[in-house]
Amino acid sequence: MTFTQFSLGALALLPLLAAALTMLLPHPVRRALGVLVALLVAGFTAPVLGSVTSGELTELVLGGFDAPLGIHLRGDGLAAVFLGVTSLVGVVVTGYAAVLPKSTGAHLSATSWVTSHPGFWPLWLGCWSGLNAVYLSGDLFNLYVSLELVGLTAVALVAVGGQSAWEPALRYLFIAVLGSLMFLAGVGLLAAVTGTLDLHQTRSQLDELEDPTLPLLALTLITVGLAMKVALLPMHRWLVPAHSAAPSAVSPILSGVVIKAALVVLLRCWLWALPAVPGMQWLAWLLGGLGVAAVLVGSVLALRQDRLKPLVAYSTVAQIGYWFVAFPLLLHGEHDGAPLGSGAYNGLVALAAGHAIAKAGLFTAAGFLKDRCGTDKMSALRGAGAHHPVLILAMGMCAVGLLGLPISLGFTGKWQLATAAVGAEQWWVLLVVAAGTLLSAAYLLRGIAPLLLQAEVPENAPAAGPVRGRERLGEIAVLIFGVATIGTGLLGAWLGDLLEVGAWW
Amino acid sequence: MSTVLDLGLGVAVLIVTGLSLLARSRLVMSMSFLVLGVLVAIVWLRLSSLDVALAEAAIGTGLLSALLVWLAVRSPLPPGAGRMETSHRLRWLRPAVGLVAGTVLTVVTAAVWVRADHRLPAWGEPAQAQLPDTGVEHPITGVLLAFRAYDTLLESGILMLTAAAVLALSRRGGLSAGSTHQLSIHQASAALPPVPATLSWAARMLTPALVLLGLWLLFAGSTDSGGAFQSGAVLAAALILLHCAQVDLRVFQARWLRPLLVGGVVVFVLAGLVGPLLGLPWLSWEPEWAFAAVLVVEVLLTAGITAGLYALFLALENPEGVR
Amino acid sequence: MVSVDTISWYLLVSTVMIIFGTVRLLLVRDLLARLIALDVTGIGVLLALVALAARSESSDPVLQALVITGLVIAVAFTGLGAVLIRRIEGLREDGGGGDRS
Repeated sequence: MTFTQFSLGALALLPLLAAALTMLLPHPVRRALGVLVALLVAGFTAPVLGSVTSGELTELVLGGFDAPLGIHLRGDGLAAVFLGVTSLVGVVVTGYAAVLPKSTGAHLSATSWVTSHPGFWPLWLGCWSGLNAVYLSGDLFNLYVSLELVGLTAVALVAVGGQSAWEPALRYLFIAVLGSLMFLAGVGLLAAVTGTLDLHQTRSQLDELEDPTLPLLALTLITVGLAMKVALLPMHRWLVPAHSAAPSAVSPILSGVVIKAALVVLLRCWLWALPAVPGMQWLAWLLGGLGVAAVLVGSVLALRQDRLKPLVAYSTVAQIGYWFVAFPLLLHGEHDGAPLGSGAYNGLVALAAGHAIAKAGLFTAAGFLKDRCGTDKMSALRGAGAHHPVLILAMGMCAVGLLGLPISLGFTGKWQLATAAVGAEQWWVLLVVAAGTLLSAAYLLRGIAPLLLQAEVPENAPAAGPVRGRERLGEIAVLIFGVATIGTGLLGAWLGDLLEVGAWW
Repeated sequence: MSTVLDLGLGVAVLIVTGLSLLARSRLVMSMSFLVLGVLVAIVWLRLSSLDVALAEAAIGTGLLSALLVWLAVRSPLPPGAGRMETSHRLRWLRPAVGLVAGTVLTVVTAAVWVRADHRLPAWGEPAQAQLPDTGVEHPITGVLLAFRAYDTLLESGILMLTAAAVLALSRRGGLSAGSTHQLSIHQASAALPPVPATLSWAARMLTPALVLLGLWLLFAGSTDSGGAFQSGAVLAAALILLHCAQVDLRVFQARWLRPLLVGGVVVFVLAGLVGPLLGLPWLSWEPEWAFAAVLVVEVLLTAGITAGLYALFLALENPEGVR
Repeated sequence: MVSVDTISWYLLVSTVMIIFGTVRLLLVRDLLARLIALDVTGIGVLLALVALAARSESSDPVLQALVITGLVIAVAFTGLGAVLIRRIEGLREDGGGGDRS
């Protein structure tokens, strides 16, 4: 067994082991162990990224039992991209939470509510384990189990935000479980006609199937279930309360990577598990339509918020729309030798990866300001930027990524999406991208501009207090996200090469 | 004969489903759900899935539904229980739309189901061929702890983290209080109502029987129906019974609950690591020591499941974390 | 070996449970009713899998194992949901007091 194969297993199991161990430790040790494990996980991501860069797909047969009986882990391009992004977001957020424990939630001490929550650590490490398991899994039922691990820990991470977060957490739980059950029902349908759970074998079995109704029904169930978990409009209403009530260190994880886990599973089902089935186009067009609606409605709703975290959460709803706008283009056939769908697919992944980094930065910044000023009402945050020039600079860089201006992955993604749309002669996509970009410029300006205003901060306001060294370190975390947003914009071509490894075409 | 039985059972399941979905009172709802669990366990026996029936009876009905009934008894009538979420005008609209949409979907789905050209699973033969390598004789245990051990590991992680989550919702975020090493769950809550002496005695008499049953389910699992999950549920029931009979379990809770909770997952991962150390893939058991590995993992998993389910009960029973 | 008609019948029952559980979950307001509706949906899905397992001679062990896994996951989520409901309703009885609103 090679070290890369070892890493595939370790990426899923090491954080789980650490989650178990942190439960036995006091709070300060939990923080130290959390940082150590985050660095180790990033270390195990490196060999997987390396082997995919050299064009190699790594496969690990767990327990030595071949599919369909056993489970295969596959480190392909899609997995590598999201492993990398998750490691980046994970390491920075872990560091942020370790430096500023009050960003990890609120718990009841013997007498009163205290900010900081020891329960953050096992839950977050467990969540990370589930995320890595989702990216690597090559088995439909295992995808369900991994998604549930992510869902359960995500719900619990919202709930550690204190009393006001319990209702959003419960609402999130209902939707997350309902979505997974629909996914499981779809998987059951597929297994009934294919006799296997392995992604690749499912595809080859379905290729032989003549009647397309059942795979189509299964795909519909799977898509509806996962769209709930991704929070595609009109199933987005759980997202805003959950992501804005979550603790400051949790919102970036939820908006940055947790919803991407469901997106990855959706891509695995659409592109890997199922061959092109007649009737799939209708479903793709429906998703595309909902995506357009999400871009427009999400942006308009973001414009109407008067608090920072809900604004950033609605911006997530809008950005989710772009990924689904790409769906009708994914199924387009050959064009000049290469499948046209691959361009849309590259664009989709670039948009999702870019969003993960930029949104994690913006949510960390919003949470930072909320923790420092005691509120995230934008009227109360006027002039808050004066004390935090680094933070404002970093927020600006993240905003560039969300807007899709050069240089950023957001730009690469929108460019590839637009190119694919032109190739397929779907001009409406260009209109949507343009309208979405203008609207996002408006709401990002609305969110960031008040911070820059010259305003008299009252002497006794918490925002006027001296900035402690730890808080400066927290600002550095946002700066790393900002720099990464711009820096990854240079990696667009590399991303395309990565995604070719183990692709479905 | 069998058709009549199946028809009757299915109709009964549907009626009880309707009751548990549509009842106005929380108590009726949760009681119907409990009955539904029993009926479904019988259905699973009919479908010759003894293991699933056992799991359903132990975890699903025995523990979970009982907890829901208990929740319903504790807070029977919150505002607006059982009512639809609806505006005052067109009160009938939502239920009607729901009913129509549900019926249409059912007909469509059922039509596809029935027409589908089923194919039997492709894993039947390899499963039988490789079962001897796993060290166990019961195929379901073989699947859970060898062929698809990874699923089981992630799933026990889910249960462990559920316990972590409910502990996190308790006072002090589930951490021990200072130097006392006491788990701060259920330490300072209101006094329990007095329990009749007979109940207390009955609980004490019943507990050894439950523990025996739990252990039998655990060790039977390698050759016959049963296994970690069923056994853990029965053992957790024994603990809950002791707790309700006001046996003092605080030392156990403080010292042993969390180590037991994580022990199963830790040992499972470490056992999975033995394979890579020998140059094999993750989670491989060599036939020579496979039985030992599976047994150790199963015993500790059982302890973890017991602790996890008991922690759920404690968190549910104890309203702390609010005030 | 269970007859094909029996399996189809139970698949139909499971479909009804899944769909009406979902509909009720989306329409009802009471939190406990929602949780129970979610569990009914879950039982429906698992019933479908068990019915599929029964197609093989001597019921398929892999699908049965998957159902046990699914059952434990359902219990975990229901437990967390029940604890959250208890906390939320405890808060309401308290009059929503607390320093983090």
